[in-house]
Amino acid sequence: MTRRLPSLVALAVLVVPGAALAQSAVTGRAYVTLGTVFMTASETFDAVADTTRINVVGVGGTVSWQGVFVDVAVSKGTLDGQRVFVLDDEVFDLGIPLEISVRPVDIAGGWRGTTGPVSPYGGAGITFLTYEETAEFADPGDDVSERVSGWLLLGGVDVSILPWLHAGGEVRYRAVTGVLGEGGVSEAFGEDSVGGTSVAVRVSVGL
Amino acid sequence: MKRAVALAVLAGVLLLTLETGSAQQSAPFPFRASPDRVQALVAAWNDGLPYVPGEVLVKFRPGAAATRASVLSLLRGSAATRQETWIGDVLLVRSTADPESGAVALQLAQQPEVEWAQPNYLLRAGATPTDPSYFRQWNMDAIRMPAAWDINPGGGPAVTVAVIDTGVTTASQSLSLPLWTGSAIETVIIPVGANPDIAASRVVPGVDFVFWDGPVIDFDGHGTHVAGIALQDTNNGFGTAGIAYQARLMPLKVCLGHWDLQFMMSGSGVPGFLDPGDEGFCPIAEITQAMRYAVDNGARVLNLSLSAPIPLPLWADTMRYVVEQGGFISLAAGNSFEDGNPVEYPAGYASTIDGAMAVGAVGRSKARAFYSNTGSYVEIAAPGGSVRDGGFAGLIFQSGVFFPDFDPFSVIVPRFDRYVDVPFQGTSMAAPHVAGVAALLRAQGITSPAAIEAAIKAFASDLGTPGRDDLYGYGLVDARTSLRGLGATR
Repeated sequence: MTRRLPSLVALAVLVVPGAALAQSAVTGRAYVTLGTVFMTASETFDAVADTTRINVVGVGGTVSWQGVFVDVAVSKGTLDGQRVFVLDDEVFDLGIPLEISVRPVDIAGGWRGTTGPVSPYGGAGITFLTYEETAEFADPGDDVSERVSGWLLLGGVDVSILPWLHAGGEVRYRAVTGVLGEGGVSEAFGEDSVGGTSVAVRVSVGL
Repeated sequence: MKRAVALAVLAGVLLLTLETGSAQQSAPFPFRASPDRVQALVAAWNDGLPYVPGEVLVKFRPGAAATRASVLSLLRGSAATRQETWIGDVLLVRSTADPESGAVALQLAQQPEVEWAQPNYLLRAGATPTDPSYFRQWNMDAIRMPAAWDINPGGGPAVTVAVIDTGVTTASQSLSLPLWTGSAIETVIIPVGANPDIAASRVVPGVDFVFWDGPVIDFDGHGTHVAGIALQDTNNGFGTAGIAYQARLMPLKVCLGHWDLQFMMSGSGVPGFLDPGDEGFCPIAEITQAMRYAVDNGARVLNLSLSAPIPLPLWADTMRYVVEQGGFISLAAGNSFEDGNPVEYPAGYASTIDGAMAVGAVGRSKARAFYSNTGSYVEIAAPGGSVRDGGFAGLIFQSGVFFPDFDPFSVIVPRFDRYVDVPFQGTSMAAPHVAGVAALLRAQGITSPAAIEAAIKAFASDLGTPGRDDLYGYGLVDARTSLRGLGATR
């Protein structure tokens, strides 16, 4: 899936602006993002990885028509940590390496305004998130690879640097349940959301 | 009788025995006990008393310890006939003037300055030697040790496990000891040898609290077997395996077996043989001293495969002290199910103390062993073996002192320098499984006794009725899952 992302971006860059030009009212942008997700299950991730954030990179594309847009974005982040044992609030590190990977695919719609070179936007949508967790000394069935879905809110602003180049910032909030909370540290802490709030910088090309 | 059967079968595997090197060097016998105390111990042995005659443990109320002289003046005899030894904040009083410890304790307990007083009770080691088999450690698979060793190969030298028991022999030499040989008390040569399957480099200096001031010697075999389960060398192409085979062993001798007391009796000039049928005892004063010594001297896991149906506040006080100092305690739940199933102590206090666990026993089929006590105090189960569950193959095999060499029914001058794989059964065997896993958990990073207990419970394999029950506690200890801990989701 990740290997396909660059080609999707290239396709978006080449095709969407062309479509926009052909229909005059339709515009399109492709973008890359670099950001960090502040995980809702902060105690869980702090316990296993000593951090509550996951750094993510992503790509996406937006098609707009008369201020309304549809956005598709894919991102990925990984965390290295270790397996632990928790008693009350005390966490004991066991030194067994663990890797967590989250890959949300977001499909959203919303409204985009334009004030000179500044283009704020906001919207909502659904997210399909693939959560993987692997660790050493695993027996068959111990490692986790699950796909779950939830909803998201997003908002941001693009600033046009050139007519076809834009830079900005974006915030997304994802609410996703179904992976955490049924075992492991997340159950101990009573946390069941694998979502969170991401803050990212975004560079777009297109009209 | 059991020992006689053991003799017959063990003789058949004589070829499996190993003789350790012995330096021709004699040692004096500075026995721990005075002749008066030896006399009291022999009386306890011969009369089957549950306590040491003339010995009482007293705990004074806060601030009242200074008044002990006036309190003790109530007792028979002058102060000169008494010896006083502090064990933490508990006073052990030995009086030759009044051997009725129960009555003395009752009298003292009625004094307003005294919080409690009790005889110096005797505990029994819980395993019975039976016939040998060879390399049949089903117990290690039952708690998933091979997978656990992949995660943590035997713990490490930073963790010391104290085995508070009949001792584990730490010297290989020939001792000169006094012994009644049938017609006279003679000084005889007694060869003793350290277990060749526990590397000497992993044994920290032990202490003998009951027999003498010399090196720790196991004249019984129980402590050696118990220590082997938790700590015996592994992956050395020799003998059987132990769980925490890189951890250190602190052997603390608190029990007197047949030969201990026979040597002491002969050393006191008392002729005659002791009844060979008794399996020995362990005074509470010495046990609690050893528990405190262990944790004060660096042991962070303590194993007590000893029990008796005697509830005493001293147990709970001492256990709490150990846990507060960072020591985890594994305790045998007792082997008296078919004898009325009484609550056995100190295990009976374990469920009230986070960091101490009462361990019941299962057999090869993972069903409760027929002898294993049940009750609300049982917190976890571990392999203890059962001759009724798989026959001899269902027992727990570990390196032990070659029994025919010292069988009191047939031997006059024993030796203790040869080792063979010996099968035992009992919650005595179950407890060191938990102690060994606790040592691995500590080496893995779980340093709090309460957390070790929580991890063992959380990852146990549930047996019996779902959830905790009185037969298996939280289930069968699962070393692999306990050591692997938790990820975010599993």
